[in-house]
Amino acid sequence: MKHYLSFSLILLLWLCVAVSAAPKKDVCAACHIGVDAKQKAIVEGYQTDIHYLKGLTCAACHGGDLSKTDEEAMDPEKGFTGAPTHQEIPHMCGKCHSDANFMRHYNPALNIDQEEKYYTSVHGQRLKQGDNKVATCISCHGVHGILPVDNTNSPVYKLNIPKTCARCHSDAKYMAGYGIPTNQFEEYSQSVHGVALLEKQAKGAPACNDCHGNHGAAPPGVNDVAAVCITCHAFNGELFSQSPHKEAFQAKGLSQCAACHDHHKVMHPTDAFLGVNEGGVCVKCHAPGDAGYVAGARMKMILDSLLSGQTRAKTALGKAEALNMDVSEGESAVEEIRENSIEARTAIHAFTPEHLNEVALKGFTAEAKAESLAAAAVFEYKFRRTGFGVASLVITGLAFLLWRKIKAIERKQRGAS
Amino acid sequence: MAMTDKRSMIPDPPRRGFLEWLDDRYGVSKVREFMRHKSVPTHRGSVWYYFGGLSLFLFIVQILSGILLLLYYRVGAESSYESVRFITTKVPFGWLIRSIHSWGANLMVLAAIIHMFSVYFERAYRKPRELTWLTGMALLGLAMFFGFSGYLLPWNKLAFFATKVGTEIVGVIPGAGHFMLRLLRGSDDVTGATLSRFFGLHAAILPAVFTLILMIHLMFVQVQGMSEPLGHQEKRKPMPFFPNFLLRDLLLWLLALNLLALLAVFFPWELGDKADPFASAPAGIRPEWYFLAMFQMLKFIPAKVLAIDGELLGVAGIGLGLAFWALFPFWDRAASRGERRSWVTLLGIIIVIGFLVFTILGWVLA
Repeated sequence: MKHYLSFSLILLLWLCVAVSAAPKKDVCAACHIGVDAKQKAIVEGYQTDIHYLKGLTCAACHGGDLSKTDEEAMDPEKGFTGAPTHQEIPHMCGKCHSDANFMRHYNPALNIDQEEKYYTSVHGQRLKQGDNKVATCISCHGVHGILPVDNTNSPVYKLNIPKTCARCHSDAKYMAGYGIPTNQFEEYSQSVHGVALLEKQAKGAPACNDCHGNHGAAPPGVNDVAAVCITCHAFNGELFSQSPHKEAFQAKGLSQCAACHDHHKVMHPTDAFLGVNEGGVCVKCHAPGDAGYVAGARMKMILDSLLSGQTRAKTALGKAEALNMDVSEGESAVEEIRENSIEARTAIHAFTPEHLNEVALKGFTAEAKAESLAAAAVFEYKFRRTGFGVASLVITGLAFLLWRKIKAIERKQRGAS
Repeated sequence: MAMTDKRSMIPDPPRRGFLEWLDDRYGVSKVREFMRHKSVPTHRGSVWYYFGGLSLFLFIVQILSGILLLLYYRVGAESSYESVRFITTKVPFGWLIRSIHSWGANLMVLAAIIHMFSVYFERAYRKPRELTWLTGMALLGLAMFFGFSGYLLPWNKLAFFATKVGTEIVGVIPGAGHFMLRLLRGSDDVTGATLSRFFGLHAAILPAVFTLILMIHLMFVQVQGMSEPLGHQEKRKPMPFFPNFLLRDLLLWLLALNLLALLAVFFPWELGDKADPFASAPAGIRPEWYFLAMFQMLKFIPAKVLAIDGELLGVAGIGLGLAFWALFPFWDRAASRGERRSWVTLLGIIIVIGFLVFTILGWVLA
């Protein structure tokens, strides 16, 4: 009997624990799944929603009385709010997501400033003004099937962001009246950033939100472009901010980095960007004769010299290597030139030939070293062969003399016997 | 004037040379006498006698070039490759010394193998020279181990993986295999510890053991003289060892030196890339050519032969074969009685052809 009681007690405890651990029974779903196809899709979609998986029911957003199983459950007097309007959505999400105490129970690492930031964004500002076309939380994150950001199927997963933004921003009809272009996605897809993210799936490459912000999305101002770019391109940005172009661009209202590199269509820069020849961006502002024109031409000349020096060094070492000589030290020097050419391309952003020359000096020195090593290797090759010829001649001569000596001894021995 | 006359009346002490001076003290005239009477049989196969001396010369070259390399070589996983690169690129004539050492090792093993087969076909191992054959076999084995241990020392990629494969073979020996593998490698894998061990073997232990056995081998040859071929009927006058044979030896040594220089200059021994234990094994890993035949034979044996591990069977088979070969003077009793058995010649021909075929296959299929 004692054992029977103990067993019953344990069973009861286990049942209590099991019931409390299971997702709360959602009485809404029981009815709404049978209303129509749309309601059924909502109910089924919510089964995959991160909120549902964390134990939140429909009532968490829509209110209502879960203890009732009929129409009474949707009694506004019992807190039922129904579907929120477009205007209400940010605040509805913010009720929980802006509450540090509440969020601590689910995801303490998650920021709680999304709603606040949202109302600083162009989307939030326009929403306040009554524009119901602008994006709210659900426009990007989805609804009744919201996935965590790191889920590859989430519309806000890093690789999916450009397409999510493009859903509205590339729709010329939808965007009509806003006066902004709708080719951003098209341009971004062709850009060095877009190719890296969308084609190479390099998650380190920037998506729309890396430059514009996400919840606080807004176009960076003309003078803020550099500040956005230098979050990744730090050295270039630092050199630019100390360069004569900084003030000149400000004065002309030019968009810092974007003036030469474009913004959404940032192409992989080539060396042709520099200088005053075809493809050179300097001539966009500078005309023959002015100081900037001359500086651009000089910088191009320095960079070209460095690159042609690398080719010359490689060719010279190739010749020595073809002779089976060890040119590993020379190859290290060529690698030094290559690294220096990368440094030099960054140094261009100081926009002074003197600075570029100072940086490229290391590369020119490495080129001289590589060429000198190549010449020494070719000399060594010839020296070895000549040396062998002389040594071989001496050894053969000695062998011949030895042979004659042997023959002379043997002749003498035969004579003696 | 008177003084001068007085002096001239005293007889000069007899003029004595350095050899006489030495003889007074050490009795070197006995050696001179020995040398004077030492002779070498002359017959159609006399040319094979030179390969023993040639092996000796190449060993001396190895010792001298090895000592020079030691001046700059620094053993260690982080320094071996770099020091060899330094030797070949920065040290004056370092490239020459390193190439001569590498080519010399190969030529030395080749000369020793030719020497071994010439002794075999001439039945020179027969009584009373059984121990000369045995010490010779030990020297050849040591020379090959010299090559195996030296191969790893530059710590390049090819040597690293070849050593890994080579030492794995030891591990298949039942019971003691794992112990021997660890003893050889210094750990479960080929690491810097293996490099230190191989260096110790290559530069200290092997030279000492080799030199000792070489002295015994040479002593046997001096005491017993050169063997005449079985049934040697020619009545050609023997050739005096000194100076005739020695000068011919020197002539051959000069030509060998010239060949070594030619190989070193025109085909310098490559260093390749530094060993990277985390990199995948490169294609075409193969041991030195003198291990290729054994390597290829092991590769041809299936993984399982009648439920027995194929590699183990191969290692056991090769081990037994080598033991049979080393003890051959004790199997071929007929040779000691002066009888020439044709099966011995046939066996030798089969082994030579087999060695060549498997070596070529190992080279082509690697």
